[in-house]
Amino acid sequence: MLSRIADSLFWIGRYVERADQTARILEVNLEAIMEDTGSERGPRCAEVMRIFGAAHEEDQDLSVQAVLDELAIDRGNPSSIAGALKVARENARGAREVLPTEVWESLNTTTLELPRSLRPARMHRFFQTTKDRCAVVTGLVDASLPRDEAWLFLRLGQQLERIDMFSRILQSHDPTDTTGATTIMLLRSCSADEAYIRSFRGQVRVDDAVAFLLLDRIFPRSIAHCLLQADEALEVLGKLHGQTFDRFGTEDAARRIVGRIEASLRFRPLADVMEDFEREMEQVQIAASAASRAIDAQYFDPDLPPGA
Amino acid sequence: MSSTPLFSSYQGSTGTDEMFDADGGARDSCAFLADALTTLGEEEFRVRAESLARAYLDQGITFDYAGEERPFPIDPIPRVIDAEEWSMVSSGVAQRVRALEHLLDDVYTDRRVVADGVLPAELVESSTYVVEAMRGYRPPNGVRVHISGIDLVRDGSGGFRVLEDNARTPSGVSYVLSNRRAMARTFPELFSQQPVRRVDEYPGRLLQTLRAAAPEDTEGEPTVVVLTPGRFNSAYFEHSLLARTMGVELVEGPDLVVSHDRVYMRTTAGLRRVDVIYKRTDDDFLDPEVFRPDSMLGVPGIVRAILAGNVVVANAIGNGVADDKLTYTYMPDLIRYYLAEDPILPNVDTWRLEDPSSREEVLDRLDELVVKPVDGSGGKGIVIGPSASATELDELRVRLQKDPRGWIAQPVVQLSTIPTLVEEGPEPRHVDLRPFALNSGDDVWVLPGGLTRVALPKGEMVVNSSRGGGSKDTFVLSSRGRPTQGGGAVTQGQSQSTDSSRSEQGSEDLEPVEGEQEPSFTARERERSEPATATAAIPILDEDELQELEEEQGTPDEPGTSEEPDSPEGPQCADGQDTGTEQEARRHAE
Repeated sequence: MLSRIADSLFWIGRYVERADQTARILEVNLEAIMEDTGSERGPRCAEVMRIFGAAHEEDQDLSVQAVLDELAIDRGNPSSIAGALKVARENARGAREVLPTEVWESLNTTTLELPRSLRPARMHRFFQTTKDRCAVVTGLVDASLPRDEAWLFLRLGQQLERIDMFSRILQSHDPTDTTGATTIMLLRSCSADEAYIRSFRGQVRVDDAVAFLLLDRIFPRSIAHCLLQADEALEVLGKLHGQTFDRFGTEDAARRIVGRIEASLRFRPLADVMEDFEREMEQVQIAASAASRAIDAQYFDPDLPPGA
Repeated sequence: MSSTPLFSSYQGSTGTDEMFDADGGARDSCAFLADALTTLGEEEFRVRAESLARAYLDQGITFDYAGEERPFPIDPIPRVIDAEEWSMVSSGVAQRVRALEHLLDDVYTDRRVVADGVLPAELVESSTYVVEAMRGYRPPNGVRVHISGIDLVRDGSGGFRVLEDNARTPSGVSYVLSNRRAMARTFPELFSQQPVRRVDEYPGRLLQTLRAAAPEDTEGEPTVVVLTPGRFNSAYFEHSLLARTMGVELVEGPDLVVSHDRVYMRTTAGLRRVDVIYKRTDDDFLDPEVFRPDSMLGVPGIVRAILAGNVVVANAIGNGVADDKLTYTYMPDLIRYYLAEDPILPNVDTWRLEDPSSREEVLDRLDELVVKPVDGSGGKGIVIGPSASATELDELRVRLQKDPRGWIAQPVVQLSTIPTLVEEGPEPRHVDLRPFALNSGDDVWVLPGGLTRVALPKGEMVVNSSRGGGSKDTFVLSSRGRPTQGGGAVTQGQSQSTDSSRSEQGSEDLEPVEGEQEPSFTARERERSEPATATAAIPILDEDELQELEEEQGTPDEPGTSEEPDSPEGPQCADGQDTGTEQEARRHAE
């Protein structure tokens, strides 16, 4: 597969996942702010911005509208829903010969229909449409692509983006706040509330919630699950490119990074991870972006032939 | 049904309308179409037309216009060409392509045509399109015009004439494919009336043509790529569609790298050898070592690789001399010279401004003629006398006198019209036709139909997408009383060599064609169409084995309980092994 196409697919995976997760996080948090008439909206809006690394000094008077303008519909900002979808669509346009036509058409239609402005009263509808469209794209990808390189790069992008997003949400959460309501909010931001409630039979405790989001191997939105999926995808990619059985560990730079995060989170006592939680989550983000760069170096930027 | 029939107020009165005659009656070949559309009723027709337009937007069927992605308008009323006329058109197009091949081969090698006094030496020497770097080069299978688009117009007399030849990078075939798909979805009833020749075999034929062009020492299946300038090119949609439907990589310049005169592409598995490049960039931007040193799109060293015989680029570099409109004026003579045949499709009458007496006549009648630059494409630089202002004509007169080599002149052709849906309803609009031909070296295949372009502004005679043009699906009818022939290809004998004995042979192959031809298959295709031999399949149920088991055990209902899973020695077992080895061999070949 062409390196340029592989690169595009990886980023389609990332941007579609980003649009979907951003919609989910904004939906839960902004709706809570709108419903809650008691407290100041400005600082809470700033907190939402902080999750996406978009907070500024002067953001204490932010309105819900301002958050929507920046993180929902700003097409020029690849961290916004509209911006992420637009970049995903641009990448898809350059990779049409490997993407199923339906995937392209779905991304194209979604982008064409993006609103130019969005009022808080209409935001629910917009978030819902975004989630639906992203589900259509990921569903089509899963149902129609062979598990070849194209699928693996899309998958890798999706999983690394999810790891990044969830570590951001977790980072912004104060683990010493043990009130049920904030814990539920955390779970809902990750679309994990229903799965959690079923797994823990209704007991809402912050430690359990963090453990669930970080470590549950069978919950597809937990960081551990995403790491395992990313590792698997990297392993298959390596085999497709002639790497042999990794009897003595692995030479693959991206796999080493991913494997290390996974080992560190899963094989340390949870209390140890929680002790300096904010910093640990920041390190997850740094490591995930290092993995992204390692993939770039190995697959998207091949070396010249000898003598060239 | 609507109260006013769809075509009741249609006036194609000029007598050059392809669908209706001067009395307003539908022509024979179009009667089924007029009936079917009228039966729909105007309201339903408009609803369908809108969904057709919407579908194009959703599918991203666009062209780039002034930096903006725009949907390419498709008109819901198709053009109809009957079987008899099509067979004449396709023979004429194939003849033209064969003559162009001879011409290009000659220009880049012996220039016999100049020595024999058929083409003036000045023409070849003054053409800006002759690429000196390619002098003496002959491609492995001799083909230089793998893909061509010969633009035709129907004039006042009703017959097709050639307007120009495109042997460089003719575009538009993707719209032929997507127009058909969209029409079949939106207006299924149109296809139930009359067998319409299929167009969807084009990508397969194209791939076959490109593979046939591969360097002789290619190991295994040749690796073909499509080279695009990138997604901001106006025809990017087409590049992507062709790559996708052929199942090959769509590469941009920076994806390719030349090392030791070989071309490689950068892939996730490192660098991979490329054998054939379907080039959709202009020659000028292909190789900064030979052409423009400032080009960022090109691949340095690619011309060296071509000359070393390590890669083939289609269409060949330097084909522009065939598109030169001055060359065009000699095409009827060239067809007679190279093929010893009379041209099947005539040219539009043309004056060469180089010739002093013609120049005088043209300058006198400038206000009634169409003047075109010889190197223009896409309608660029054309001046239409009757609609130009006096100052424009004066300016033109000066330019013509200064550079007579640079221009040709033609009478205003009364282009045919076809009903086209506009705001007010169906109205006559001018059309042209670009049939596409593929030359694999064994034969020239012409895609049934081609791209019908419509000039959407009222009265506009220049038909081009950059001038607000749209397109129509082009129905080529199969001849009546015969089943539709999906793979129906009009093929003619083709000779690549300029060697005169062979070219004469080639000319004998071309016989006047009457009515629809039976598809003529090459030997390879015939082989492929035979049913696969039984050894290629492993049946899920091995009935012989099953029967043996039943006889042994007497439990016919439970073959799965067999104690002996190993199949007995026999032909089935051998079959399985054969298949295995075959697959293994194929894998090695890849």
